[in-house]
Amino acid sequence: MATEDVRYRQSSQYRLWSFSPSKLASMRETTNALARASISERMLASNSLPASNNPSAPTSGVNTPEPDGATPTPTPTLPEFLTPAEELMLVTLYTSELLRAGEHMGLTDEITSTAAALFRRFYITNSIMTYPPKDMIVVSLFFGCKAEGTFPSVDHFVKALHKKGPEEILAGEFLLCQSVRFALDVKHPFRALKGATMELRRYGDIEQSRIEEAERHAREILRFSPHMTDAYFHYTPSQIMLAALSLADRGLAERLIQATFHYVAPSTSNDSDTPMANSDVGTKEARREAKAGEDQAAIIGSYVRDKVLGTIEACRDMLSKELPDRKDHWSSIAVFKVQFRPTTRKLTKCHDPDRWDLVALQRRRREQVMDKADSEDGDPEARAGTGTAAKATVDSDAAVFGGALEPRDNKRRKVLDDPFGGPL
Amino acid sequence: MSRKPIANARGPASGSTTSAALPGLSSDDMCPVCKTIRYLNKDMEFLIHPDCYHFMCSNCVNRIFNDGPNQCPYAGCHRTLRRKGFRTPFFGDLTVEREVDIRRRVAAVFNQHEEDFRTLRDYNNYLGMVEDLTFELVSGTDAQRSSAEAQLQQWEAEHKADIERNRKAGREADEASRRRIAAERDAARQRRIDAIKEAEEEKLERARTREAELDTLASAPEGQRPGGGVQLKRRVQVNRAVEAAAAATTNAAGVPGGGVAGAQPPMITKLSIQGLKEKRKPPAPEGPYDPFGGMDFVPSRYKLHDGLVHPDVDKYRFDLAHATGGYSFDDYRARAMFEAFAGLGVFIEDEKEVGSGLSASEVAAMSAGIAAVGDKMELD
Amino acid sequence: MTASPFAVDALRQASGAAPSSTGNGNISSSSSTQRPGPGSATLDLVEQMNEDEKKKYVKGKKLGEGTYANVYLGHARHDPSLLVAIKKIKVQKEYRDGMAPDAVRELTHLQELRHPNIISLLSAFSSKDQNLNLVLEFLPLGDLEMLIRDVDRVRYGAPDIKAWMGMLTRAVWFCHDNYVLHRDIKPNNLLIAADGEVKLADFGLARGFADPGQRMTANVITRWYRPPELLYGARHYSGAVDVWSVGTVFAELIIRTPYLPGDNDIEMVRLISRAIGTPTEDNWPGVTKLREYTIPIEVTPVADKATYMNRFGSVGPEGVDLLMRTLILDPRKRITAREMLEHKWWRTDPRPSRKEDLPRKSGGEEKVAADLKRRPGVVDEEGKAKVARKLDFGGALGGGK
Repeated sequence: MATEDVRYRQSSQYRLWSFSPSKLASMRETTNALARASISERMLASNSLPASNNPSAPTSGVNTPEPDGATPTPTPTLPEFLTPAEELMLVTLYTSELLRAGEHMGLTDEITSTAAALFRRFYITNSIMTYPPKDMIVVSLFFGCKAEGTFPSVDHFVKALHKKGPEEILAGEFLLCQSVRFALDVKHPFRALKGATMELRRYGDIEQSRIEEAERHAREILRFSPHMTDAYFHYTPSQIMLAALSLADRGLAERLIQATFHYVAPSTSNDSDTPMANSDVGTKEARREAKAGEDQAAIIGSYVRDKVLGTIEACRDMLSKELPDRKDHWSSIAVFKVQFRPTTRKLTKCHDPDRWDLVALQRRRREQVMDKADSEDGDPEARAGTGTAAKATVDSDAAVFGGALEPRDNKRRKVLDDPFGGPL
Repeated sequence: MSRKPIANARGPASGSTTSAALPGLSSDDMCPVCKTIRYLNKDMEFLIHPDCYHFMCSNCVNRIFNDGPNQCPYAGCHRTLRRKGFRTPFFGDLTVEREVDIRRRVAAVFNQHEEDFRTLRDYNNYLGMVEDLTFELVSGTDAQRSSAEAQLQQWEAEHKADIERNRKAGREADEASRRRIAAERDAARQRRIDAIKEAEEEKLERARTREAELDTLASAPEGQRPGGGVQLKRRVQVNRAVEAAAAATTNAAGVPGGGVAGAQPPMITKLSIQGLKEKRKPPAPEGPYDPFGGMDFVPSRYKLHDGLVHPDVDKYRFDLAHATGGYSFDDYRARAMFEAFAGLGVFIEDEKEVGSGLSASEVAAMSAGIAAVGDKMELD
Repeated sequence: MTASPFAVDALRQASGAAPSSTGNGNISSSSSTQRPGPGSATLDLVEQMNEDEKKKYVKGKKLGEGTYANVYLGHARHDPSLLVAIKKIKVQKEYRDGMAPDAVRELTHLQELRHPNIISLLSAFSSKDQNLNLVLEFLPLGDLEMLIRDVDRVRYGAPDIKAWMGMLTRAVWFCHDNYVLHRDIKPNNLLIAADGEVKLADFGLARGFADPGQRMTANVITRWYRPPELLYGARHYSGAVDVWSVGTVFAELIIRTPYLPGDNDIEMVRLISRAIGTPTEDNWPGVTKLREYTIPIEVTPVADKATYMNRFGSVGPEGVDLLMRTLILDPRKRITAREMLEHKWWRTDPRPSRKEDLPRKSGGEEKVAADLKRRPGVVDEEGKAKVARKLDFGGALGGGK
């Protein structure tokens, strides 16, 4: 087994975040279906209660009327949900926004690319109807820095992206981390590109400027195109890199691949030249076997080479659909109005009433925790004895002293001060 | 231990064909050599020599053999004995003593265990053979005895290594079980201590929470919830598998299977053991120490040549900060090259589609093909 | 984490039984709708996956507690004999920028590094209170520091040292081979498994190798084990920093006391000068230009082999040779982890002890918990005067780490 591939297969990118196209599609469909089901439920649930009694139905930043909630219609109609295709389109749209934001902030290619990869991974396991993409862009960029070993201050981000406050960024951080199954090391093709050009330079018979031009061009592609497609899920970084290089300068890419998978057929004349050719039968047998083995290897070798070529070609096709010249398309207002706005409008009506506001969601979750007397997790069964007793005390105290909104903050602070620690 | 003789039947204990009944120590009042009686020497001790199992008092032993080897004083026994061969017998009946000694010797040589044999029948046959040999040694005629003795010697000489191995294995097994028992005892003790400690802590904790609750109830401002930070201990049954069990396992080593072949002098019939399991190789003498533990990575698709340069990289080469701090450009180069080629032969569409595309073995075969190819090619 | 098409399984599960009750009170769903009863809790795919992951492990008794994390003993639900350590990361008050760097780093790197001498990350999930829980393999026999310091009851010799050094070196080599710097190597972070294998733990300060031009922080590695280039504030460095740490651990294994226990950076430089040699332009070109270089008061020449043999001779001349190479002042000349493994010391007598034969000590549970829960970069010195300062991780964007 090729040693490089063995190593690559150890990576979390391969193990957890590489899929065949059909599998990826089915995952997206399932996420979509799940989201529809749960959002429907929540909407229906919130319908059954008057709006005032339901503090946990926040409205999103985009002002929209409560979806079918306020008016007590006998048969509440559910909004129209996004289809998986529409979801994917929006994810791509927002990915381009993310890339732009990263560039605007002056983040490195690695950081921006990691953020884009995390963003796209996020929206495999989550639906864009559940969690707001605009917020997740910021979270991804912030967390992308961390994943790449740079730990920025959240204030810096707040300032650079004109956010209201740190909670908006921090609220979604853990969610993102969780959604990507804690696989934070994203492998990119940028260094691979450097390696490839180093190798090309070494051949010595290629013009320097040609290599430089190809690298520059390929790099431009790699910053944009793979993220605007599903390339990271279906191809390895080296394949993506070679595809980009191929788009930049087909000849160079092919030269590299040929050199790597070059197979020299053993010339049959060699055998007869050697003095061994005349020796006893045993050796001839051995040689015949060896030759058969070589032929076998040759067949397999060229088979793999062709397969690699085919894979890179396929990746190239994928990337060519979203070359950097498409940036304008994605950022154009005119295009937005025609192509995307209908869908984003749809989204405002069908998004998850509970989860859309990340900050509120976070706060609510924290409060859930503190309602439970036990901040530790453990076997629910084992909890029976002592847990309920303490809980009963707590509840009775609440009954006696009453609960108010304000003290909650005190409580939260108190818990944080508590040596036993508290929630995030 | 008292040296009172075990009163038992004098004369031949078993096997009426015993050549000579050994006089037992029951006549412990008198030393047959010097005729001293116990009355005269209260603490008279008797010693025997395993060559002939003739007993005599220690005074005689000293007297006769102190200056060197000498003939056994018993009439008709012409064996040359040495002082150091004498020892105190365990059994009063010297026939038993002799038999036990013989058995001990045989067992030291024939020390296979049941696990070494393929079937129970084979093991029983082996035991039977050993017993026959022993019987001959113990109760055979002179001729039988000497031939059996010769067989024993020969066997021992030929299978020294295996015998040693079995012996060691037996020792290790004992050692292991001893250690295991000690460890289990320790663990049990520790567990008991821990349990007591936890119980006490639990009590303290409960007292503390009660105190805390009382305090807060007495003094709590409105709305504050008491006991928010109290942590309650959780006792979950954790499987207390004793990991301290000693690691040593018995290495039941193999023995050359089948019979022993070869040309032999016709007088000694060859002993053979049937039905031994295939020889399990003893733990290989640890091979050359592999420094990388088998996990080294060697590039197969490229070579790290010296001439790998890149302007973006090289502009830092002369930056003192990089150089002095020890930054390694070689590492960077290696990494860039690795990433350029890693995963090139990984076909996700096939590998990540369960049940279709190439199977794992096919992929392996293909990649093996590449590796084979890789050797042949030389990057020019 | 398992590589199974886990997501797909969860998908099938969740989608198969449409709005299904989860029973164990999923917070978001059960609270968001104030309508009680079943059917209100369809979990997100990620929530479902998290629950599944969490359910795989049963958390047991607390092994230790600290400001950084709590550590619990646990076991796999399907196999109670498979013990795990569940490290629950706490919120740090001082760090107001979300998830702490330590947690992020551990997650990032442990997910990628699989090696017998590196602690295994089995899983990760979030608890109900949104805290990160890392499920690590359980290493019950304490850490190397315990063995080193217990001079009275623990005896070990050259073969044992060789075995431990072999394990440590392999771990470090593997990190470097995967382009990861550990940056916190010390006896505390070398945990011992039940079978005697030593494993490198605590990747809270780790990071990938930097690209040329990328600045890193010099404020890493616990002071006593920190190499001179970091003490002089170098922002561009390599695996040589880890190798130096390995060297100091090597020395400590031999003399059974920390080799260079300085109270602050200045004293560290002084100790290094005296014990190993003063860095000069001769033995380390360019050193005087490093950011925090200070002109030494006295200049000691680099110690020769005889000096080392005097103090460390118990590992033999080849062992001393290896030790000296790890403590070369100029990081460019210092031996690399790979070269360490190729050194002839491993092949000379005595052979390294087999791991079953290595000395061990009981009572490791508490110590391991202490190690796992400790903040990286801090020396644990109960009852001793020397206390290493806590490291400061502050750094705005662009400052680089």
